Amino acid sequence: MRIFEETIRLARTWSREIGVAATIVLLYAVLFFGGRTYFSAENFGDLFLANLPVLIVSLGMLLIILTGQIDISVGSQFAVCSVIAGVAAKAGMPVALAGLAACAAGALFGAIGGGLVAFLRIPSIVVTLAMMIALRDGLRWSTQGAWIENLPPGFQWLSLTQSRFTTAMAVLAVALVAATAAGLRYLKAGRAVLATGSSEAAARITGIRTDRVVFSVFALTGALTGLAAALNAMRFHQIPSNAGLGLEMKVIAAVVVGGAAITGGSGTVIGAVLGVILLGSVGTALTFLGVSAYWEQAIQGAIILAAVAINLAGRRRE
Amino acid sequence: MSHQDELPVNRAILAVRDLEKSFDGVCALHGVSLELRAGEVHAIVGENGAGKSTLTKIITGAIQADAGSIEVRGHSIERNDPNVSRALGIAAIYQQPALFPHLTVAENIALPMEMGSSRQTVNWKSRNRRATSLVESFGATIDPRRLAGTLSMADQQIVEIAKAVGADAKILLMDEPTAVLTEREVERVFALIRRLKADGTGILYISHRLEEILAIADRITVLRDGHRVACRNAAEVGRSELIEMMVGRSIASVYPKRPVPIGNVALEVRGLSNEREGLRDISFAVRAGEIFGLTGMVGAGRTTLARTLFGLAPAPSDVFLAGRPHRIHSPADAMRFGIGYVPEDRRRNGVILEMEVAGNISLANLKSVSRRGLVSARSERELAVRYVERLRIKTPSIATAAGKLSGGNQQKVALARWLATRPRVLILDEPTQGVDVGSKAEIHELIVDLAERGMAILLISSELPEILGMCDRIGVFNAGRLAGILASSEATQPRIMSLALGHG
Ligand SMILES: Nc1ncnc2c1ncn2[C@@H]1O[C@H](COP(=O)(O)OP(=O)(O)OP(=O)(O)O)[C@@H](O)[C@H]1O
Ligand SMILES: [Mg+2]
Repeated sequence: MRIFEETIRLARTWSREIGVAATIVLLYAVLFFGGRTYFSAENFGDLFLANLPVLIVSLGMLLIILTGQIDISVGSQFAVCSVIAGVAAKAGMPVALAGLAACAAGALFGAIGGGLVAFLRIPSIVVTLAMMIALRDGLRWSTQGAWIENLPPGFQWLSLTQSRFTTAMAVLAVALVAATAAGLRYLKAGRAVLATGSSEAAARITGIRTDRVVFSVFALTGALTGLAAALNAMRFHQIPSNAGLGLEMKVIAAVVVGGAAITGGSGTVIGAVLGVILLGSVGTALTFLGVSAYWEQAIQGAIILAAVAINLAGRRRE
Repeated sequence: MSHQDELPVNRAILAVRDLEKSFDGVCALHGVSLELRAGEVHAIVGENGAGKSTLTKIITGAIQADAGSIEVRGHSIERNDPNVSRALGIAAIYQQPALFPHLTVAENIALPMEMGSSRQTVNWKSRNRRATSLVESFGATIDPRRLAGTLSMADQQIVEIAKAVGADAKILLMDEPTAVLTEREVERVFALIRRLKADGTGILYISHRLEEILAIADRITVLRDGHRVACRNAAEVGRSELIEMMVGRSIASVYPKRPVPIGNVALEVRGLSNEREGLRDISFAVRAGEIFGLTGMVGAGRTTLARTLFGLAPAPSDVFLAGRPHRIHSPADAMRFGIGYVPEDRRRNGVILEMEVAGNISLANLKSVSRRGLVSARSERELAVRYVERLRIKTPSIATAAGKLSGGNQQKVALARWLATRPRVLILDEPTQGVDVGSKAEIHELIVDLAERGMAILLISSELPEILGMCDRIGVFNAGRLAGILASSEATQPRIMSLALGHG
């Protein structure tokens, strides 16, 4: 009896995540009967690497959304950080240092945006919209649209084989996800993030420095964006100057599909990861099923709408 | 006045001296001093906007004073903030809810303590254990893993109290802790206060319920317009003297109920049930000019009935308005049929905090302040000014954002909005909760006026004196059922209580 009640309670608290997971299972069940070729290890590896940036950035975006803010400049940050990683590598820096430079640049962008939001109390949508345009156009102007080519050997795949690189990235991804989830649940700082988003006024009188919390999640997201940009750059021979177009939308969509409340205070890492998996799989899955690429965006949009509607209906019942 | 001056300083665990605070040039506190002794309940009373909440927020460091000093056990605090004050053993229950709706009960109780400690991690097991025992010590059972936002108002208040008490505070500030509680729950809070008092905790207690103050307080400080006008031993003052010190004038009759001609049935409910919301077989009728009281324990179904009548909860059957059956699906329906509703939780459902006072008042009355479909700024202003004066709403101007008013004045703004709609049937859910005595009398006066003009009024209240003093008939709820309807001539406090508790 107790176990039964406990199961119901758990199912209720995790209902959103369970819903997304069920949809993913359904999607793959359809695929399994529709096109077996989808299930090759190679496909999965490619799919994973292609979505790794979304996954990494969505961990940061989740934190930002949990505090009740939003950052739509991550796509532009991503582009600039990619170029910085490439330029640093070409200048002869060791790969690790080039990656670190990209992270630092991202953290700086995040800190600037976060500072404006947290300390000057400018709405985050305004700040990051400005940042999005400024970074993107600044980059276009300084590179003149040229791609970075002739990267030093050892940059691509971290001089590993592609499959080794994929394994290493998988380990890194699992570690990042686990660290974020644990930090959010067991660290005081993580609880402060949720508290800030749940009620900023209550957080402040509880003694939480909400401005610092907001500032930190933006800076952290910037650093994660830099990391994602550097790792993504390593998959190719050259670095385009327009990387990360639309990344912000993919990331925000994944977090929201994963059940996070756009108004803050509620959402989980598991949910965000499931959101990334679902949205990441849909596109490729449709191609494999022979659905025209024109439909891809529309279907993704429909999934986002459905997820948000279900989410809202669930909240209203509470 | 001189009592506290004779006091040996070492017995005061908290002393504030000459506090000054203004908001955008409006003075909220002016040279206020006060001392709190160990084991003392020190009440603070004053009209809405007198500065009581501002004082508590300064003591906890939630806001900073412009001038003045705070001393805890003889040591003055240089820079106060919520963490500093908590480390010094100060805890507070704020008037505005300070819970995190998305977080669990256990976490709500634990967070303030954890924020003060140097540990960087949280332990969920001990959080839950502690929350359970704290809530139980208060005689309630609330699952510590529930989200605070899903609790009833009364349970939320219990969590607030558990949170403050759990911090092992030596100085406890309580800003209207009982405003949303019924008498039985108030008794529990009092039992707790007595226990804390015996342990040597000093308690600053703010309330507009003067009976409570006189029952629990040792000393009383009276604030008026940001000034301290008196500090007296509770045993030496009476109710009327207290009121006079608060408002600077005497308030003659407490309940202005006048007999008014009773008209036809305006609203009738026949066998209304709603299993999911816990309402069972409710039947009653209210006539034009009549004030029909609804009372009972919190959660007994009074508010659910009101929400059903106003289309906020699903209506399973017809309601008869002036004899004609109507099905109400939404508030728009209800308003069209002439029903108005002042909700209970005005902090969440009442005022729009960012909107100015005038806009808030005219919101449900846009038609009456419009000419040819356009809102006339002049009539809007006139309407607002009329109600600001009538209800004595303390605000720098009618263009001030409602969020900047004191708690009680926000409530009055929400009340004004609905009083101004002049519906045929008006449902008032706890209309005087958190409102000072002077304004309370004003609101009662206004309700009687409305009844006199033929409005049928449903008055929901947990305050029995108000119900007994204002109503022609009284419906008593018990567990979702109307346990009985009493005429005012046969209604007494014990009879109502026994019906409400299900002994009737
Ligand atoms: N954040 C704010 N901004 C501007 N004015 C404020 C603010 N907070 C309070 N005030 C003003 O300070 C004065 C005192 O407010 P306070 O909340 O202390 O009153 P109170 O005695 O607690 O009243 P109530 O009984 O209604 O709760 C009021 O005139 C109010 O309008
Ligand atoms: Mg107050």
